Amino acid sequence: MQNLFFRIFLSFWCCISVIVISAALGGYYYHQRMEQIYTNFEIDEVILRASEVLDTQGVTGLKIWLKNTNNKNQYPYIIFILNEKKEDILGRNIPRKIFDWQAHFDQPHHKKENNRINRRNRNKDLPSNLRPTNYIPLLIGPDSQRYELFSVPKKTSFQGYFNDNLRWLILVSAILMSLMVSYFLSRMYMKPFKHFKYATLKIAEGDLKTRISPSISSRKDEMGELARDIDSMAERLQNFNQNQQELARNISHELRSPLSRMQVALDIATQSSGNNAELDRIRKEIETLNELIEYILKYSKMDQNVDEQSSLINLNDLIKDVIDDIKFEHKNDPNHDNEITLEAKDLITFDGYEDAIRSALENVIRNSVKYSPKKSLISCSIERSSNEIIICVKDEGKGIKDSDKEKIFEPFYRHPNVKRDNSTGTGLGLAIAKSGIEWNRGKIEAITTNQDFTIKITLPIG
Amino acid sequence: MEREKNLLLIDDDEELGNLLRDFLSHHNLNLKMINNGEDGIQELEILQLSSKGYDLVILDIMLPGISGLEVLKVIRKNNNIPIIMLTASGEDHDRILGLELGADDYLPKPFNSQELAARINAILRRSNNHSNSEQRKFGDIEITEKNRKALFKGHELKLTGTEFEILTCLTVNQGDTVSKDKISEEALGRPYTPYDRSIDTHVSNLRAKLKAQGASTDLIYSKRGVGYALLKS
Repeated sequence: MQNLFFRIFLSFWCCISVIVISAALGGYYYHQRMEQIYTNFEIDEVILRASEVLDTQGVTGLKIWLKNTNNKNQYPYIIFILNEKKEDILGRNIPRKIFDWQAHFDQPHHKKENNRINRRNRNKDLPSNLRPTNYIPLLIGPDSQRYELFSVPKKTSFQGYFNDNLRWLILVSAILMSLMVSYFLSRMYMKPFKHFKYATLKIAEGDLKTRISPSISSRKDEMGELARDIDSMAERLQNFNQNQQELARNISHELRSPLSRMQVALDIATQSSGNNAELDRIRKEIETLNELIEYILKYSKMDQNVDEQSSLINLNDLIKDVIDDIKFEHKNDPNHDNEITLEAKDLITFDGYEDAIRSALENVIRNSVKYSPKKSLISCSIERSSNEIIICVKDEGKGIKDSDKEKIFEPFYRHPNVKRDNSTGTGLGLAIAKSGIEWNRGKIEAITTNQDFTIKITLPIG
Repeated sequence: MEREKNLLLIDDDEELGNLLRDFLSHHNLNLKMINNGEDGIQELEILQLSSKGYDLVILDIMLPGISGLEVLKVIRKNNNIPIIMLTASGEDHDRILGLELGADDYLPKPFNSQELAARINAILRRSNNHSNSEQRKFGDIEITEKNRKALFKGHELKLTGTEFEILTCLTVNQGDTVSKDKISEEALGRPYTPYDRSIDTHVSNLRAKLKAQGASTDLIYSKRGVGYALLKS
């Protein structure tokens, strides 16, 4: 989420920054060019001075004057004076653009225009050795040689360009503005994702009433489409879930009604004819059937209370409760007079669904009681590490084969060594435990050695 | 011989009702059947006005039309008649909700009729057992057994029969922890059984009602694995 937001934000910002920087560079080059063109025409004074020097001191004098002028840094440009061979009189390399300008000013439309020097000095007498042809001033030396005058601006450095405080301000504020604009743009694009994330999380947690906010689902773009798709998915899930719960209630009702009637009829029969072994047997089978219905519903999570909110559970108390209940259940049962202990160092709480954990623990411990030898010890322990809670239930029962370790959590699995006797048991206990623990995002596994058998439950923290 | 008690069964399973009527008649209990919630509510409203009425209602939670829980809510608005709910076992949330809405006890279907008769008798016995007519005061709590009223700091606590019994049981033993087994015997007329959270639900209802009148939630404190106690003032 944060990542995608940043990526969008960065790409917006990069784009805008690239545009701003190119604009700044463009401005810089444009500025240079303008400067070159303008300075080219600001040299009247220099031309007049040059013509005077040439007139009085000849070419040698002109050379000295030129050297001095250029060295003095008096002007923001460098003056070149070219002889007829198109060579600088000081023998310097001539910038290429001088010839470009010459070509440029030789074009017909420039020729038509009045010469600038001419125009400006219309009322003045021009020195006799100055021939203002077109834009490029021409001097005629004492040896009738022609000299052309060019000025090339000294290059403004990039730094120089930005020495202007205002330009910096504009550049910095443009970057800052782009930062803000890209932040708001990316926030605008990411806003629906926040809603999507929240809603899908709620749905995953089982709150199927969740819908995407109408401000997004009413949009006509792809985001709105996605929002509507998520909404319709949630609605279908909700319907499906409702139907299933309805079905579970109906099954439970329809199967139990005849059982209830059977039970009452049996009670009447017992009342009138006294108790006997056959009636007892019927009673027991009714109980088994009822238990089976309850367990199947529980296992298929059809009767999962979807309205149940997760809550902070005191696991120590919960395990103690379950142990107390199971001890109570077997209070007068000499075959299952096991001692059940709980070892817990600190108080451990877990944010989860209490009903599911309670029934899982009940089934695991009850399973241990069922398969443990008489008077043996069942030891439960609970401990917490940095990222998980581990609950172990260890008994001295006969272990199982390694290959059966997974199978015992399958519904209706019965270990071949265990005789199918009259003892209660639906074959669903550990399967229910597994589904209850998984409902709480945990894991359940069996660990078996020669001496004992352990069920290990791992619950994640956070 | 005591007079015959009148019971009202609200359940859509008429066959079951017939069998039950047969069974309960041997226990000196007269059962009338109504097979839906609306008629049940109406019947109780009409008879509440007359002097002769029902002694107890057996209410199935799974009813066609308006659910048993709705019926319970409507009845409890202005009627303290003892109510036993019939729930499907395993539907714990229905059961807890029912007790929270003020049912006195519950029995999961399919049930042992003997057990039902025992529970009916237990509830009837204690609601008729008003030998002690004096008003008793325990700190902020006043209890009058004759009309089964309890007051906290002079404000009436609208308690169901079972809640009243639990409060009485706790006040009589004020300061001592009363085991869940004893509370169950005294208030529900049956021994405490494992996996049964109905005492806890009743106690938490009682706490909520006391709290609504300004009592601290610690007034009734629980001792884990043992029972509950009322704080000595």
